Amino acid sequence: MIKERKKLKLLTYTLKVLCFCNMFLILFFCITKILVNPETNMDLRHYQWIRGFFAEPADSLDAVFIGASHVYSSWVPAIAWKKYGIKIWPLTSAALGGDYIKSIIENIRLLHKDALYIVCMNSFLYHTYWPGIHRLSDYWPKLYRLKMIFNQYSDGLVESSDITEYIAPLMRFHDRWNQLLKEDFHYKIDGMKGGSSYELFLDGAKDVSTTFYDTSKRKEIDQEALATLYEFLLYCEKNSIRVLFVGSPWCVSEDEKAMVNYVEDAILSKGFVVINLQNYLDEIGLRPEKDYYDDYHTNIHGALKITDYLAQYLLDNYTFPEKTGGGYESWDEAYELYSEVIRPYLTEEELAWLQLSVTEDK
Amino acid sequence: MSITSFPFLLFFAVTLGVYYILPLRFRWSALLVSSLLFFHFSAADYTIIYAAGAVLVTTLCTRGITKAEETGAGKKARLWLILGLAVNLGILATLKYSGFVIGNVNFAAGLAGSGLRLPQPDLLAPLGVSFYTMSVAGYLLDVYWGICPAQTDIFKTALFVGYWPQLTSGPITRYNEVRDQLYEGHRFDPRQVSFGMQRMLWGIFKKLVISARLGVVVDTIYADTVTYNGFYIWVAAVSFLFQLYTDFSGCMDIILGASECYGIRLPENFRTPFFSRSVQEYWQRWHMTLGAWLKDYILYPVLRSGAWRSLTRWTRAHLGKKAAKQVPSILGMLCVWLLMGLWHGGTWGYIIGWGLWFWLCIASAQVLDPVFKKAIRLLRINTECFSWHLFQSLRVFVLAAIGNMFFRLRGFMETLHVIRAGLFPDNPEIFFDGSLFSLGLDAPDFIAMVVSLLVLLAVSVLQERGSVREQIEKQNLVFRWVVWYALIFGILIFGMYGPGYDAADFIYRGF
Repeated sequence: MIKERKKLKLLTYTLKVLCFCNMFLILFFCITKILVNPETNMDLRHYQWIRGFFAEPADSLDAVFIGASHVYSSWVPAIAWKKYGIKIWPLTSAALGGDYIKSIIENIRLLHKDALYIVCMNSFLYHTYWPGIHRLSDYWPKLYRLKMIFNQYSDGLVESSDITEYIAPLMRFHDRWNQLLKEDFHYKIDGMKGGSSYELFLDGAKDVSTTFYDTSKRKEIDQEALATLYEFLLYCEKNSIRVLFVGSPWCVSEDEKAMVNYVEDAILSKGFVVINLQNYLDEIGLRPEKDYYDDYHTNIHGALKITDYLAQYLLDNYTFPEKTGGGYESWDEAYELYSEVIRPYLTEEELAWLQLSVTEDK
Repeated sequence: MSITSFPFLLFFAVTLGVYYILPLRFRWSALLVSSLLFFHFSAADYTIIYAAGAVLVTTLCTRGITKAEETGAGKKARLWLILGLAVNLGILATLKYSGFVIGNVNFAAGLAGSGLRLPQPDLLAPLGVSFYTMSVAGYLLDVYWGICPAQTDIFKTALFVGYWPQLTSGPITRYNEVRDQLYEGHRFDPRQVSFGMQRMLWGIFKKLVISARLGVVVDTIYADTVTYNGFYIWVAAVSFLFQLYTDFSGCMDIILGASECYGIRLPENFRTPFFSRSVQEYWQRWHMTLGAWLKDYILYPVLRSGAWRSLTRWTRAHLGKKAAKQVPSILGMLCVWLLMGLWHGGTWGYIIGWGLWFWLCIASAQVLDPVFKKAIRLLRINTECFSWHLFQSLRVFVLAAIGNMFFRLRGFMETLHVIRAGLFPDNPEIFFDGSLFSLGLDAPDFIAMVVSLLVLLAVSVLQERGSVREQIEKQNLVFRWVVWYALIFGILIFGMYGPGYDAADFIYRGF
C-alpha cells in the first residue's frame, strides 16, 4: 500500500515536471520569437528571405539563389516570375560568407531536390561572423536550425562554446527587452517572395562611375577560403548537385575584383559553370551613375537589369519544369504586391517594360 | 566554469542524474568524482596537488592524533595537530600571502635605502583554498579536542575537503555537520530536489539580474573618482554593498541549492543581514560560517588562553571590574578582525582598513553602550517601534557600506582618498538630472535594477517570517508555477549574461 502510494506520488511528480517543462518550452519559444524578432532586429528582410523560403511548398522552386547582400540587391524574384515564368528564391543573408554555403545546401536540398543552386561566388572572399550566423540561423525552422547548427559545428564553423547561442538565440538577444515595438508581437511573411523593399534599395542612388572599372588581374584568396571553396565543389560533385556560380558586378577595390577572378578560375578549373556578371556589364546595361545605391549593391534599377539578363541566361542554358495548370497564384500575387511597392520608384522605361502604369505618389 | 553558465547547468544535471542512479552506498563516490570533474573544469589541473596534499596530510595527522590520544600520548597528539595545521595553513599562507609579505619586505628595504628586491612569486592557488583550509583546520582541531572522530578513509576525507559546491565560495563547513550527510547517500526526494532547484534559481537571479547591474554602476564610478565624486561615491558605496550581498548570497543560494538537490544541507552563510540593528548582529548574519569559525577556533581559544587570563587579571587590578570584562574581549576581537581582514586578502586595505573598521564599529558600540542608553533615555526615544528599528538598520547599512569600500578598493590609502572625495558632496542634482543613467546603465536597465532590488527586499521580508519556498509551496499550483516561471524568465530576459556581456566572476571566488 505504502509502496503503491509512493509510486503514485512519483508518477504525479513526473507528470507535473513534464507539464512544467512543456509549458516552459512553449513560453521560451514565444519569448524567443518576440525578442529575436526581425522587427526589433530592424531586419525583417532576413525573416522574409529565410522564413519565406521555408514557407514555399517542397520541390516547387526552379532554383535557389544563395549568397550575401549581392543576391538580394540584384535579384527580383517576382519580376523573374512574371516576365520569364521561373521561380527562383533568393535565400540570402547579409555578409554571408562562402563557408556557410555548403551547410545551407546540405540542409535544404531535400526540400527542393531538382532545383538549380545558384551561388554567388563573391561570398567565397569572406568568412561569416556571428551576426551573419544569427541572421541566417535564427529564422530557420527549429528542426532545420538544429540540423544546420550541428552541421556548422561539425564543419568547424561554430565553436562549441558558442553553440548554445545559436541553438537558443535568446542567449544573445535577451537584452532587447527594452527595445520592444508593437510590431514585435505580430509579424508575418509579406508575400513578395523575397523581393527587397528596403528604402535604400528602392530610392537610393550613388554615382559609382569613378570606381567602376574592370580588371583582368588575379589575386589569391586566403588558403582557408580556397579550401572552403574546394570542399564545396567536391561536395557538389559528389552529390551531383546542379550548381551555377554567379559573380556580382560591384565597384570595390581592384584587389577584391582580382580575387573574384581568382575564384572564377578555381571554379572553372574544376569543371563547374560560372557566369561572372562583371564581364557582361554592357550586355546587362548597367549604368554606374544611376544603378547602384553604394559601391557593393545595385538599386532597384540595377536589379531589374540583372534579373532580366540572368533570367534570360538561365532560360537559354537550363531546363526548368513547365508551369502549366494552377498553383501559381501566390507568385502572381507576389508580382502584384511587389509591383505596387516598386512602381513609384521606376522610370518610365522600366514601367513600360513591366507594362505598369505611372503613379504620382512616390 | 562559472556556476551561472550553461556548461555548469549541464554538469550539474548530469552529476545529479548519476548520483541518483547509483546505489545508495556508492553515491558518495559519485560526489567525489563530480568534485574532481568540477575542479578540472574550473581550475588549472596541477593546482589539485595542493588540495591532494591537504587531504593526505590531514588524513595522516587526524589518524596520528587519534592513535596518540588512544595511547594517552597527549604531547604526540599535539605534535600531530601542529604538523597538520602548519602544513595546511602553510600552503594557504604561501599561496595567498607570499606576494604580500615580499611586497612589504621590498617596500621596507626601499625605505631603509637597501637595494634588496625579492622577486614576486607567481603561484596559482587552487580553487577554494581559503575555504577548504579553514574547514580542514577546524576538522583537525575538532579531532584533537575530541569533538568528532577522525575519518580513516582518505577518499572520504577528500570528499569532505573537495566537495564541489563549497569549492567556489564556501561555506566553511564543519566535519561534524556534514560527515553523515556526505557519506550516507540520499534517496531521491522530489520535494527536496525541487526546493534545491528553486533556491538555485533565486541565486542565479540575484547574481545575473541584480549584482551584475550594480557591478556596472560601481565599476564606472570607481574607475574615475575624479569625475564621479561627491554623491557618486555614496551611490557607489551603497551599490557595492548590495552588489556584494547579491553576489555572495546569490552564489551561496546556488551552492546550497545544488547541494540540497543531492540531499546534503550545507550550513547557511546569510540571514537577511540588512535587517541587523547593530554591526555585531550584522556579522552574525553575514558570512556566518566564517564568523562562527573564527569565534570557535580563534576568539574563544584566545580568550581562554593563559596570556588573556593574565591580561584580565591585570586589567581588573589596574582598571577595575568593568574594564576587566571589556578590554580582553575587545582585544580578542581585534585579533579576530585582523585575521578576518588577512583571510580576505593580502592587502593593508583588508587588514587595517576593512578589518579595523568593523572592529572599531563593534568595539565602540560595546564601550559606548551605556552612553547611548543614557542618551536614548534623555531624548525619550521609543526603541520599540518600526522607525527606531529602521534607523538602526540604516545605521548599520551605512557603516557596512563604508567598511566595504576598503573591500572593493583594496588599497588603504586609495580608499581614504575616495572617501575624502565623497566627504562633502555638493552635487545633489545627479539624482534628478539623469546623471545616474550615465553610469553604464540606461533608464530601463536602471528601472529593472530598482525593481529587482524591491523584489529582493520583499523576499527578505518574507524570509524573516520563515522559508519563502515553504510559503510558496502552500499556494495553489497555478500561483506557484507563475512565481517560478516569472523567476526563470526574469533571469532569461533581464539577466546580464550571454555573448554580449563579460561574465563577471563571483567576488568571493577569488578567495
